[in-house]
Amino acid sequence: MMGDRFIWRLAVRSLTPDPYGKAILGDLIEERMEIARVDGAVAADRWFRRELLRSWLAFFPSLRFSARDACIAAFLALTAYLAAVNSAAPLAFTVSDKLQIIPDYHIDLIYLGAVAVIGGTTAYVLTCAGELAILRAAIFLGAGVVFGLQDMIASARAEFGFRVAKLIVFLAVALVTALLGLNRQPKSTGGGNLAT
Amino acid sequence: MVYSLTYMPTFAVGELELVVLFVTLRLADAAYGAEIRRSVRDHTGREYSVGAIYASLRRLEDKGFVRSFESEPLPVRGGRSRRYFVLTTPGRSALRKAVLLKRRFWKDLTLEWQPR
Repeated sequence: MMGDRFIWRLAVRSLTPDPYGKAILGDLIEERMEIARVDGAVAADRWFRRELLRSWLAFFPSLRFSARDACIAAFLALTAYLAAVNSAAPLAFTVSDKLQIIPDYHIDLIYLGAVAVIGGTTAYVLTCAGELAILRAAIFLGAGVVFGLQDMIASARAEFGFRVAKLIVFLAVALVTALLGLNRQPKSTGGGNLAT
Repeated sequence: MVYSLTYMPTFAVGELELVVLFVTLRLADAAYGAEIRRSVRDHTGREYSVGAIYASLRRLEDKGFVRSFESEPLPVRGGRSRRYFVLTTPGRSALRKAVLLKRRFWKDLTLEWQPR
């Protein structure tokens, strides 16, 4: 399931840079191999996923994270938010126009649903694309340019100052994050083909 | 620079931390995460997650009660290195103090429970 894979990847990604996190993954993989030998691969996989989630939840408050990781996480959140907010409103209005039977007050619900779906999908795509630093950097810059252009067009109509300021901040964050992404070496999860 | 979400360190030893200290001392050279977890399960009958054990170990290391080091990769195909833990002198001292405190409590309780 997509949701499972997302949480699983998130757990592995957040544990890997931490020396203790790496040890947790190593121990889990070691136990998984033992369980696979006794109970079979399916049972071992099921155990591994459950234990990984439990361990991640238990260890998360003790995780050490760098300023770079915090910056990347903030940028992911910002990109997902902008993608959602920029695309959800037109979508909600289009849906309500097509389906005339939907009462006006339901537009807000459609809007919120669309924000959740588009934001979640964007965050998922960005996290998965993170396997390759260069691809992630390109996606970050691409997202920055796309949303920046969208804002630029909108700024020609109204709220000029605010939108330009937002655009500058957004592109600056995109550039910094892309540069950080370029320096980030792909790291082994210690899990071999489990990560795919 | 690294950041942590953990609270301010204290030098008191919690229940799980005490068990982990004890098990680490008993395991000596074989004290690494998975083995500590198995041993904690055997001694307490409770199934802790690997993450919970490592969270305790990190707190203990922050307090200076244990130190850790990474081993060479295991000499098997795809062998991984393990993080081993060793009790420090303050760790042994903290364990001794905690055990003495518990013994004193039990001694008092035993006296109180004696039939008159």
